[in-house]
Amino acid sequence: MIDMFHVSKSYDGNTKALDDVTIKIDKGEFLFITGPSGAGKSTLLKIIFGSESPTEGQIIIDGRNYYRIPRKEIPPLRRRIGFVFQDFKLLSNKTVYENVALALNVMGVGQREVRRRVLRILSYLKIQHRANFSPMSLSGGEQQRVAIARALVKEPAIILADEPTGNLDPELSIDTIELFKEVNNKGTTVIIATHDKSLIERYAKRTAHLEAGRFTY
Amino acid sequence: MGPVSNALYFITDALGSLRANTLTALFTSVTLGFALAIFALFALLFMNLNFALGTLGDRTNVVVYFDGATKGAEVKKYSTLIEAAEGVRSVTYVSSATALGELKSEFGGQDLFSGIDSAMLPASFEVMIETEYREPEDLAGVVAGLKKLKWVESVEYSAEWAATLSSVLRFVEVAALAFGLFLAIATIFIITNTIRLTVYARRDEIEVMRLVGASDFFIKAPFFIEGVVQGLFGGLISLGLLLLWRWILAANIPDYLSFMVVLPASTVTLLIILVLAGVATGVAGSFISMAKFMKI
Ligand SMILES: Nc1ncnc2c1ncn2[C@@H]1O[C@H](COP(=O)(O)OP(=O)(O)O)[C@@H](O)[C@H]1O
Ligand SMILES: [Mg+2]
Repeated sequence: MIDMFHVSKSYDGNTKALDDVTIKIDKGEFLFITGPSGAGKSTLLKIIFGSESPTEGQIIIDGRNYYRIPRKEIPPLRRRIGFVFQDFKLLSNKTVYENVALALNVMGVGQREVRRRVLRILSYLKIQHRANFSPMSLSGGEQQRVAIARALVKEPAIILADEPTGNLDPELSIDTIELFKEVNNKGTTVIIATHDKSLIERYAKRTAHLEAGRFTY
Repeated sequence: MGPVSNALYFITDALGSLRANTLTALFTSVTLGFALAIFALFALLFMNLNFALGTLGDRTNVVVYFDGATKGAEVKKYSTLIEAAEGVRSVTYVSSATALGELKSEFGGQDLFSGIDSAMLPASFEVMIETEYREPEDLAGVVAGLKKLKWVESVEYSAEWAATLSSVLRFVEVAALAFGLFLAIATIFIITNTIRLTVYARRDEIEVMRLVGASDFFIKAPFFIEGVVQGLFGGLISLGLLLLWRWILAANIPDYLSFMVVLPASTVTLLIILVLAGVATGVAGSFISMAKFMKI
């Protein structure tokens, strides 16, 4: 599903955020990308998401080569990927419902269908009672659920999550990972970037470890 | 979902955003209205002033004197020949008697000319020149052409007047162009900066929309609609200001300043022009302000 060949990424020309990274991620896989802060985890996810392009190497998603992705091909790519951002990126001037609905609206889904799917995902994540609130009035854990709801509502083929447990207490962290496992059980490819070792130890899942932009298996 | 529900979504979104940012939107419309009104007022003054100066040009006349006594038939023939010459708009025959009458009325008292016989004043043709031939060089050409007619004795005209008029017209034109350009740049600058406020207020939204897979079209459409709505109101406001200007000044200014208030077109024409200009500026402003945020 996702193939990266000798991908390198340098933001400023000398230091490499990613250095000759090669990885193959199959459809339906559950993968942890680990490594200390600054190792290049976020950069890797951004390259898959098309918000950064590799300096060198190839990235192939669903048989399409996305090295130097043309601007107009980014939206279709992102509609197939649900990204849970580290800082959530929720809009404070919109309600929880509107934030989640945006992911479907940009795809041109009809309003009745939008309503049905948004309410279903909100109740699945147990935040339906917050639908008409601003995300800013919610707790950190609730905000993260909204971010996850927005990523899941379009039923993407791939879920990318950047430090999804970074702001949560241990109990909520486990809930969150369990949620991703559930999604993964339904066939969605899940890739989680985290520096939380205890999390990885708890789940016997495939793990790719980054150090200074290189994989050390 | 079809284009209809898509359009519905954009319109709902744009109106929602206008409602959420009423003050900014209102501020943009009013600014746009003032900018357009100032620009329109300038255009109006320029057009009226230019027209007034153009009528001054009608005073550019050339007098043709000719040999000997003329009979009625010859006057007609000469007049036709002069009229056919290049650059001539119209010809008026001034007989000796008429010339004396004009002279007398010009100087008021009749006594001064009591001893003068009308035969002592030569008859002439007063020639009006076409607008395009009033520049000094063109005028000299027209005069040279008239001099070639063999029965013409002399041709008189004021080269000085022609030169002064042409330099005044040129000065007004250059000044208007420079000032108009300055106004246009200032207007665009003010408008894009005002609209940038609206776009800036939504920059997070633009970023998030892109992140969840919105196409450029999807992101731009609501701003386009907002630009249209704001431009529409801006156009209406500018027309209101223009009419207000006329209403306040019309009753209070002397005749010779009437060029400041005469509208060169009907209210409906002005309405159409100003609203179209408003919408064009609004949309252009939206897109220019947005370009920066589209790179995200
Ligand atoms: N936008 C950027 N501009 C410049 N350098 C960056 C940028 N983003 C990340 N980096 C650098 O790239 C390296 C990897 O960063 P990142 O991918 O965020 O690591 P991680 O997510 O593992 O903490 C770091 O050295 C970081 O400073
Ligand atoms: Mg990171």
